[in-house]
Amino acid sequence: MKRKAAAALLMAVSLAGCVPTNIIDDILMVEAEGYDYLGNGRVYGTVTMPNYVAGGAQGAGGGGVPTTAAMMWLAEGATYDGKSLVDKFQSKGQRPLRVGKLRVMLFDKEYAKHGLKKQIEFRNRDPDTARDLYLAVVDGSANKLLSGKYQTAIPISRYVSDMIDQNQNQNYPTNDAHDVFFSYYGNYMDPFMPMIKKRGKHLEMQGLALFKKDKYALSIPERDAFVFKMLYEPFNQGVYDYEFMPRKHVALRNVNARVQYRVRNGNGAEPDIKAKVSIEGQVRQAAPGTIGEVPIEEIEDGMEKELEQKAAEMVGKFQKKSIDPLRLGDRVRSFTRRFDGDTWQDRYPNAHFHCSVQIDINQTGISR
Amino acid sequence: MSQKISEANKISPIGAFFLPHSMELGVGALSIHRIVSQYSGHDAWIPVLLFGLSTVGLMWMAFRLLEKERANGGSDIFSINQRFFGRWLGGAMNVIPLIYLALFGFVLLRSYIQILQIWIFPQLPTWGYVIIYCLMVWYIVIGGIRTVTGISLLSFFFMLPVFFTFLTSVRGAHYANILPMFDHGPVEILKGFKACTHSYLGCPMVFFFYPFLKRPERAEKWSYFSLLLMTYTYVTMMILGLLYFSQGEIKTLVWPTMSYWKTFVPILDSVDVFFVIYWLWILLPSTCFAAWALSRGMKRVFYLKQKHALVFVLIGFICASEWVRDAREINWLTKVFAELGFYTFFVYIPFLFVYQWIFYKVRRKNA
Amino acid sequence: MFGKKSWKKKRLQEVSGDLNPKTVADLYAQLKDYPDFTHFEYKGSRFHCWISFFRSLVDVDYVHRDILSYLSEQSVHSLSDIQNRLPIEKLIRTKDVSEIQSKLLRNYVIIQEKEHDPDCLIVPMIPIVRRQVVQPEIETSIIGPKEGFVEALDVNLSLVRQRIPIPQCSVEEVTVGKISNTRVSLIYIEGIANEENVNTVRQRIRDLEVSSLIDVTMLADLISDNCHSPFPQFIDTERPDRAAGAVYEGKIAVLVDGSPSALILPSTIVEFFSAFDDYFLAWHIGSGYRLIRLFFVVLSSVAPSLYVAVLTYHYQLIPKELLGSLILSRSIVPFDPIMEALILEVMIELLREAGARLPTKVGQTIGIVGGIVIGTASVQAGLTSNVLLIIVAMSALGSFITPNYRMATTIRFLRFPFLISAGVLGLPGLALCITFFICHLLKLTSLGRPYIEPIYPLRVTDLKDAFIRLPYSAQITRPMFLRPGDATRSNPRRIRMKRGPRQPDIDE
Repeated sequence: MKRKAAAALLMAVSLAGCVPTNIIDDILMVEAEGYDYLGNGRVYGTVTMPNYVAGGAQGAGGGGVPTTAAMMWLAEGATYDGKSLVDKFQSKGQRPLRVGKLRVMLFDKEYAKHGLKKQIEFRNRDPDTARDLYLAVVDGSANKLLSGKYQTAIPISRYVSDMIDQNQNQNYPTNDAHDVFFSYYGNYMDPFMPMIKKRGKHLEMQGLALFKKDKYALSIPERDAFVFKMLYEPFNQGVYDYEFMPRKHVALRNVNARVQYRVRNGNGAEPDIKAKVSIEGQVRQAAPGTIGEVPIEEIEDGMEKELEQKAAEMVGKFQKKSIDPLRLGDRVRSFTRRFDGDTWQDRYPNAHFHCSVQIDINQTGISR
Repeated sequence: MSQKISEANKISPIGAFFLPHSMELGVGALSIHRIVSQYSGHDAWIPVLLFGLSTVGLMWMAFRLLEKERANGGSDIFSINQRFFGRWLGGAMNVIPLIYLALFGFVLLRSYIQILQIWIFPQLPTWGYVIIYCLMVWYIVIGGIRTVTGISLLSFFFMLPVFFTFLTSVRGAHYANILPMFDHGPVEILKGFKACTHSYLGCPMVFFFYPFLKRPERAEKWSYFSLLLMTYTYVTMMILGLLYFSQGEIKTLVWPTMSYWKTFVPILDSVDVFFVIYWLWILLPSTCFAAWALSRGMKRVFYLKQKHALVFVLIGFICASEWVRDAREINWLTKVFAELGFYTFFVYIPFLFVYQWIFYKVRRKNA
Repeated sequence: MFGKKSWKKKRLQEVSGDLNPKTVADLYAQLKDYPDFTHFEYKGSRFHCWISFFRSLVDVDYVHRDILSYLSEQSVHSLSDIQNRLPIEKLIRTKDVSEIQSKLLRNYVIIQEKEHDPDCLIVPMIPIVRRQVVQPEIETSIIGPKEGFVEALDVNLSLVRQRIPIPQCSVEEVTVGKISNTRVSLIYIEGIANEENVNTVRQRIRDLEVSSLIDVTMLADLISDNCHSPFPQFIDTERPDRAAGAVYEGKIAVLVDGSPSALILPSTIVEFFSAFDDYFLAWHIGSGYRLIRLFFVVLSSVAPSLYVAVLTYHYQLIPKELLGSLILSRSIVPFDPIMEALILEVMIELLREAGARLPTKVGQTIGIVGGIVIGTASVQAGLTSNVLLIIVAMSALGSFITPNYRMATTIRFLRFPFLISAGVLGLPGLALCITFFICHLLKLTSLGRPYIEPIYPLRVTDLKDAFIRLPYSAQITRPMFLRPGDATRSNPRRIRMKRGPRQPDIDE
């Protein structure tokens, strides 16, 4: 019996053994996808795959620093909206393309305006892709961004994802595919994405692109990202630049920012939403004649006023466009029993939003 | 009716802790979020908790039933059926637990392979994997209930990190998601409650392993602990899932737990692959136990040798998994099984309990 | 089929044909041509007798000094006189040919009055000195006792017995082997060792049907519960202190004549990974080393197969930061990861085998040649990737830290099924393979006791000396899996009484 079982085992193993392999040096891992909208439901897709090639002499064992940028593989072509680019370009690959290590998806503004529904639902269905990949909107052409020349030698996919990652620790709100899915599928909220732009030989963040469900609706500039983040989530880095007097800037370095919401009358026609932000910070960069000469409370007060005003303006804009990237609707829901979700869309623009900011500058560096 | 079980083949009372626990934790844990919250929304943790507590009540009933039966020799569901309903009707009734067990083992196995095929190897031939797997189950089950208990104990140890991860990982949690609490009416909660059955199907397995317990009085306490731990695990799992996903999103995901694990460890990428494989250890004790209990049941009902019955069972698993081909059929089977489980829990077992009560009353009067 | 069987039967009968001598004369006739057999007539002034012994077994100096000098005394007239005069204990007077034969082939001297006289006096003599007691060579320890077992059974017995000076320490001797008649000794403490265990061991050893028994490992294989398992079920040790320690715990030590190690039964798997050194260090440090050892043993058996599985099938699992260097190191290798890993693993095994077979001095050279030349060269030649080289080398190191040599070979063997299953089905295959071995361990028993004991069945008290070693004061009970006759090592109440009440407060 045992012998028979062993024979069956061997047979099953050898027969089950015909699963295709994905040996890492025999596949091309797509790391970035870019989409440009051509109109009429057609898109121009670009994918990049870093092609790792050993630096130095052949057979040196690949020692030393990998010169990863030695060759970059890039495929582009037009296709219909919602087509998997990996499938599309499979015919162009000298090795099979795999999507498992995708880390950035870039969409140009036109495509974002057209709507990302197909892309988002496709990504949510695909078990291969990670949920921590970055989705971003490109100001300009995604193809040019991905195929352009840069000062740095690292692969473009890594360049973009590292830049977004780094910035999300600072002034930009955290936002990866998971957050986009969360807001896209969730009720009473809308997704947003960071916006990037290629300028000359480098990249830069261009603020946030805000969506009405899957369609691009509005953007907020880089300098307002701090205000957005402060209302969106607690964080402990980032810098807010405050013009205390004309041409006299004080930069508040955030150490700890918290936001708390209060909602009243959530099912009423005009719900009351109160956000209470408290920021603990320190000052390093200050124009002469500010810190040490003016009472610190005055600076704090000025900053608080400015932030409150900006926050109110920003939410007002959102309400006008009837988009909700700050997930205010969801916050109202969490405060309201038997929340009336059906009429929320109509009530949202009428909601009263009030923000109070409490800034505490607890130190101002090592000089007086 | 049944031979005496020798002391050397029995399991210690603490086995009653590991067995129900590993039986309950199954593939249901992967989709519990979606299935329950489609009825109960962000309050989905309440039915999960309620169901968990109700399993304790079921266990209590089961122990009362079996305890009384113990005085009359072998005490499992088969002998209960035969005593209460006579030889022929009882024998016919005994097919129900056999079907329950067969579905329990098979649905789990097939769904696991489906997940494996979706997540890792779409080209993995079902029968190849099932044959290897069933050989392993055979190897374990011929070692008897003690080995099966050993597997579930090891499974418990392997799952310890999972229990703790549910405690620690709240990265990206939106606490507002489960507010306001108790926002759903009793009807919605009850619908969710019924949907929970799917995840708690391993609970009545005590009806099969009870005669193998040493000192069952002491085991009773352990089995309650086990159910409570499982309830705790499910509730924390549920809450974390609710915190992590938005309500709309949770409904689009087939296995929210797997998606939850995707970004679970910050350093490693795609840990979900790892967890799929880890889940093998959840599956193993359940299928082993199902195969064991099924073969033993066949021995009791059809008077086969358990060794031969086991081979039948495993061949049955292999053939059936080839026969059930796509996700739709699996879902249908799962639904049927959950339905069967629900009525087993809340109709069959309470009915037996009441019937026994009357049965003994009448008998005492006659005597 | 039938014919073959009967032929085999006939052969067996022929071999076991009656070769045993019937009389002393037959015996001498058989032996007298052997050059190391001494058989002569002693012609003293008054008394003549025949003396026979093997020069290769008995120290001739002592024969001269202790026997011949007495024979020439005046008062010796007969065999009985010799028996009375010789200052040697346990003289045997017998006519039993088989006993005479067995003694003659040991360190005994036979004295007779006439050459073919069945009446013999058997005089025990000092055997030829074998190897001296030296330091243990495999299970070395930095501190702690430095004695190791040698080949002579009596010396080994004395090494153990000296450590257990109580009358309850009982030694039983069983003779095993139809031809070899090897002496096998069981050592255990009555009242502590479980009677059932002792009976099982005795039974299994007595029931053995073998022609010869060369070493204790052979015995271990013969009396093991499952001889098909790659896992050794009994610990063999060459340290008398370890053997004595085990006997104190309630285990049974088995010594075989001619084998420089003792067998300890029953054993559990974690004991194979505890070096005796752990007991000589502070308990946290000892525990730390033990955990490191266990961790690396697991890692060493799994690491190469993980590499193969991940690189072949699960590229998603590789962290972004590692991707570049992994791909680079693989880029010039023409083989699949599985072939690459198999080549390296076999190479390492080859080196190990070469190192073991060659004399020590050459062995070191082989280590250097293997490590540096082959390793570096194969990477440069593009046969293997350097990342894999690191992993394989590390896992080789990991397998060598297993204190028990037989277990270490098992651990090394395990890597191959793991590798192949990882190569065939990736991580699911590896998981299945590991699961299979775990199931096997679960079913394995050592002397009928569960092999992975403190884990299953779960015994919390035994966990005190399994993965970690708690201080001796916490280890009040003997291992429960042995079901010892006397479960407690020390009486906690008495300890508390002797220590007196604890200090009530600081500085008081």
